[in-house]
Amino acid sequence: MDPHASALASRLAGNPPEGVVFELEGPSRLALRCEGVFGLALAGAGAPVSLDGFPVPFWARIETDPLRPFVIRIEGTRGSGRWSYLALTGGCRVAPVMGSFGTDLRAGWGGVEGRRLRAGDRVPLGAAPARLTGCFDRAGFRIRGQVSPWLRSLVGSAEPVVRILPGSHWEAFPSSTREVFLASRYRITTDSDRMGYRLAGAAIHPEPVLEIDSEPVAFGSIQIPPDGAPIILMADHPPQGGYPHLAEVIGADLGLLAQCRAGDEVRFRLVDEPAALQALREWRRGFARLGIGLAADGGGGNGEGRHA
Amino acid sequence: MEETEFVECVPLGECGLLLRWPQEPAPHLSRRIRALGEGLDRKPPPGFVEWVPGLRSFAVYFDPDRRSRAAWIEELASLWKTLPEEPDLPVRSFTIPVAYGGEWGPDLADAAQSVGLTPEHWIALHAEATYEVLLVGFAPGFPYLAGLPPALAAPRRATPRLRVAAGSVAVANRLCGIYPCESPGGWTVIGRTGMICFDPLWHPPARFDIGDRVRFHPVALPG
Repeated sequence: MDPHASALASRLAGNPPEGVVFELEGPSRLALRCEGVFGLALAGAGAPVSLDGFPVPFWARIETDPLRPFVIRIEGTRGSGRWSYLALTGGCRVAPVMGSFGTDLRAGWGGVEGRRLRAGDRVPLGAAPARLTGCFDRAGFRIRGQVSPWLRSLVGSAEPVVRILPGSHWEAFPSSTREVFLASRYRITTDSDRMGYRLAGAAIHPEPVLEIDSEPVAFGSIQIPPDGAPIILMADHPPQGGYPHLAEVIGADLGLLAQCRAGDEVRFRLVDEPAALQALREWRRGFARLGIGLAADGGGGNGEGRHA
Repeated sequence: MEETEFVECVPLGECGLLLRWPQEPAPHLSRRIRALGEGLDRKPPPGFVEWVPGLRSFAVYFDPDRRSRAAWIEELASLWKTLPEEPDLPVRSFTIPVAYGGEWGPDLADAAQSVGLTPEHWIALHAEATYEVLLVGFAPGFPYLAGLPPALAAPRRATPRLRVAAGSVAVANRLCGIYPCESPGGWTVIGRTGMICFDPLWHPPARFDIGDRVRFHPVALPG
């Protein structure tokens, strides 16, 4: 759901950005017994995490001794944020479905038997890295470079302002209606899911009423159904939609939006395309820098240090 | 033949572009839209991510750092011009067994009554027609079929059903469709088929593609 946090977890673990990650929503917990694992990383909402009982941080690469089994425990998320990601170095060997390692819970495909993980599941590891990363002290792991505060700010905010571009039916809404939309706070409702986040707040209507022949939509498309309550299409959205398309969340803010929980309030700010492109490029530059930092072994961050 | 120039060209976020055609959805337009997308698949321009068809629209998603929106508009306009009026597509024909009415098609009786037909007459008209796939989407593998006889046109249900069974054959306005999996839905359900429309392990995973011809064959089921 949060494309930025999942890519960051993968990158920190030394995997490609689209590598396999474990995704945890809100209060769900995970305890994973790991064997032969060279490292791992966590990103996203944040939650208390321990490795064999030692607390370990989010937003860092944690190198582990592959000869030593360990248990990583992630407790439920407290505070802000909705989605947390765990990546294991080398990834996991699950069969791709239509080119993706993701799990489609609604259809029951992908991942592990197309369903949520449950106690007793075994997930085989992917290919191990070519080199061993050195010796470990008694704790059996060490923490490497942490992400800059700037990157971290991309995926969480107490009062999120989500930037949008005009959607394909923007002009079908009266300018007074658009102003209401931009001036209002919207609450994410409890019936939001992976397909769409539903918003409660000022109702929005096009004038005159629009009949749409189903047309393509994207992750971040803000649609207005007849009741006027906006729906933002999320990661599991259908390829086409039949409601007026008011606006489009810019790519750089999809993570920020995804991390909003039911009950959280968001506001929207209209930007132009150059601003959206600039935000996308800032994210990409930050992501690329992160890679350089980690490649320069140990010199890449502010989290260098042994844990003992 | 209708002129099919695209007149509207709107952004779909900073990484997408939507083309819209002014005319009503029609098989001729859909086939050219499929040919446009297959043109991109054959020779993907730099930064191409994917294309998605609509009923009278087409989206391309791309990396704006590899190729600008302006360059994409030019690319698509020139590709569109090179397409033949009648693209040569590998279209197939399907005959789909349908159990009409009763528990399989709970809306058939009402649909027939609202247009002044007996259910038997409604079924006969529905099964005589030949349909063509305009679009596959909404749910994985869901075919939007043109060719519903005008006498059978039915409005969408005022309140969508929360659950429409997999295999349900349904109509809405001038279109017919088949629900590939259980999902919410607002179409008028007139029957059900056991034919599977989608399997992620097939290649390609959807049974139908734009331009395919479909006929329905009534079958009687015990009970």
